[in-house]
Amino acid sequence: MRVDAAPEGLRQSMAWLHTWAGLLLGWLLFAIFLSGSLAFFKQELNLWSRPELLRLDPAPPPMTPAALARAEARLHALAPAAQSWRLSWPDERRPAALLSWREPAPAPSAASGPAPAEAKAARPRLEQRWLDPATAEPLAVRASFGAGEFFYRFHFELRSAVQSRWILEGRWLVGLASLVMLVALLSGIVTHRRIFKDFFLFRPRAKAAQRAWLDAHNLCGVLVLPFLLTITFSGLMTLHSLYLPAGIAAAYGKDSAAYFAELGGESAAERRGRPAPLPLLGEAGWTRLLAQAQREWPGARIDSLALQRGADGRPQLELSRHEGERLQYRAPLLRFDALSGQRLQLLDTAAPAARVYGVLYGLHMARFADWPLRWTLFGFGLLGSALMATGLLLWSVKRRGEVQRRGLAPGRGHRLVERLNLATVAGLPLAMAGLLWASRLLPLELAARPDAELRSFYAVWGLSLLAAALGCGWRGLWSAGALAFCGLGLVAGFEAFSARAQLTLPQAGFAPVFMLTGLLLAGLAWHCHRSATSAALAAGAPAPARASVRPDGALLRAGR
Amino acid sequence: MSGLLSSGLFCLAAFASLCLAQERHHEEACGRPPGVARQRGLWALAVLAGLASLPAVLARPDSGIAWAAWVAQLTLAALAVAGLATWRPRALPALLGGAAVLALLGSWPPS
Amino acid sequence: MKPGPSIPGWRYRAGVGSRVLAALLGGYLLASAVAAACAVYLPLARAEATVSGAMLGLLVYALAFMTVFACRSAARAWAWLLGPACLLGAAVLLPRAAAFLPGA
Repeated sequence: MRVDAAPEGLRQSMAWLHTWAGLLLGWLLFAIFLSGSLAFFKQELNLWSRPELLRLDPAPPPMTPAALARAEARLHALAPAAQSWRLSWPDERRPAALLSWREPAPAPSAASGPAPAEAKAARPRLEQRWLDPATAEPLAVRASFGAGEFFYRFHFELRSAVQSRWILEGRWLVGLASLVMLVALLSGIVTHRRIFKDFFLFRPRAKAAQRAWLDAHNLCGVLVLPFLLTITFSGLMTLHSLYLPAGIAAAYGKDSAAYFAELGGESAAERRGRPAPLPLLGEAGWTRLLAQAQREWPGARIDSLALQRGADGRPQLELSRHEGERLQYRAPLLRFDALSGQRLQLLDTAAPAARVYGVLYGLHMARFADWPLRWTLFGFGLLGSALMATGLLLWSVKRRGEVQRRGLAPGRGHRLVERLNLATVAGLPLAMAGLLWASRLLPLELAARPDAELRSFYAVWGLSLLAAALGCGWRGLWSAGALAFCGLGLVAGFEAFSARAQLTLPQAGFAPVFMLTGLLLAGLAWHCHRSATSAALAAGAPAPARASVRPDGALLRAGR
Repeated sequence: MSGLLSSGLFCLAAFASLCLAQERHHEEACGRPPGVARQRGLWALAVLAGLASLPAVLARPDSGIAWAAWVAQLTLAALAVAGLATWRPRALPALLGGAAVLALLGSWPPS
Repeated sequence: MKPGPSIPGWRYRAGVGSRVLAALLGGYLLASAVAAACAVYLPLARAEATVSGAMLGLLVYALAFMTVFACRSAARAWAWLLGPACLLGAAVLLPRAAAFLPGA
């Protein structure tokens, strides 16, 4: 889009689009990519927030009828009026069983509050308890949102710290950002003239620092392109019912539940029956049901089971296989009549388009990934975040070079971009450390502790924005992040040492991972320091004929 | 040698070959640009090595996971070769030869 | 992004603004029309057709977005987007509207 409205080629117009799309949404996309990368380790990060669960045996016990009967008895002791309940069995990454149920909300009192409160009270409440899988004893776990859970939710709905308000708006914003990401990827491919010739090219010590940044940006983009395209498109598809409801409306009208049912392989959309308390099946009932399941799925690992009333009012049991067994999401569900033990339905989709959707969904959620693959995907996510960061810094460096060449001072918009770059790329990791610290520093009996944890995250991020505005540089924020993570590493090390008698892998892993993160951030701070010093020394030399702005020089001037 | 390791080595060999087929990197690695015949040979070697990396990966229980793991493996190999081309370009021919030989030895006899 | 010889005037800004609107809104309309048309007209099972329409619709949205900025003028961009959107939308909505006409 040229100012003089001259016609330009496809490459130039796509370059313009790529630049503006990246610049306007780069910060949000960086946050989405970074939190999404951490969300690959959702379960492990949740264990950091709930260290009480680390005392359990990491090897998941087998699912026996006796254990299920104990869990069921526990549910009936806790919530006899439960209308439906679900039990998630532990696996290698989650050592405790999670029991959740819905019970009817308390009847609204005569002195009801304003309308929104009334509407909330009408919906059945969801309650959760962590259970020891062997004894079905409820575990005393601190009230926490879960660091992993927060990064996961922040990633796709920008979860606020205010009791889940603005979730819809957050999802829309993330959807817009994802679409623009797809546009930026495709326009970047069109614009990148030498995509094959420059495939392996990286010149970190190029004389023009802008070239080094561009090489880094291209490398992060091109080499990881399959991952980036897949993750972006699959991300959009996970929420397609929100983003593009026109298709569902055209084919199903208002009955979107039927769409989801058919997508999942249900032959007829089963309406949930009128909610009523559920019967106690007892050990004999569980023995019969598990035997039935074994007949259909010999040797399968069952991950969760859910009991609810079907359309005919009879209680139904849904068994779900472990999601790590295959790429396609969702795992197959087997439905039984809970009382008679009769097999009702296998909910698994075999239709091609629905399977493609399931594969896309599964690729995005990465539940299928074992440890090496999971760390690899995490690395790719970090490279995606680096893609955004290098793009933003490239713009800033390039602009600064142009401005210097013409002997001007950087404009307000440019300075804003530099501050936002700093607050996002260096401030977000610091905020994440803040969240991890909050789970150790906040008092256990604090009211609304989960929201307090989220507020700590946003507070630290806000402080880093303030620091950036007041002149703190990259060195300062990277150093703060390094200190925070090294501190976390020390705390984790101390905790692991205290529990050395029954040390489990996740607990042992926190210390080295946090320390390495801290050292990485310290390395970045050191790199800024070293380049700043050399730039200061070079400032004494006569100005070169062609202004070559080292990236660190720009960073140096952006700070302080 | 595990199937995964030999598969990874084939991927490394494939990308090292692709990298050396490019004039700029061949010059940095060997001191002179490659001739047309050598370029074609390196391309062919890259394709063969890439295909050779498939069987071990497809041995995974779920084919979907297998393909995803293969693409991830290719990406890692590409990143490794890009790193080497940036900081140790002269090691590229050694990587190509070493990875190819080790991978062949590791995948024969088939276990 | 080349800084031009003159400060961008209102014509330039209006052009950019029009294209942005076309890309965001017009693109969304086209994507929705594609998704709806696929859901209704593809010769597959209902859920199959709908999910295929959603995937195609998202792809179309991204491509339409790029097309808007590759077009020679903002007017062309609007035409490229709204034309097919209206056609597809009519194909989906008119048969339903016809059911409401008296005498149907």
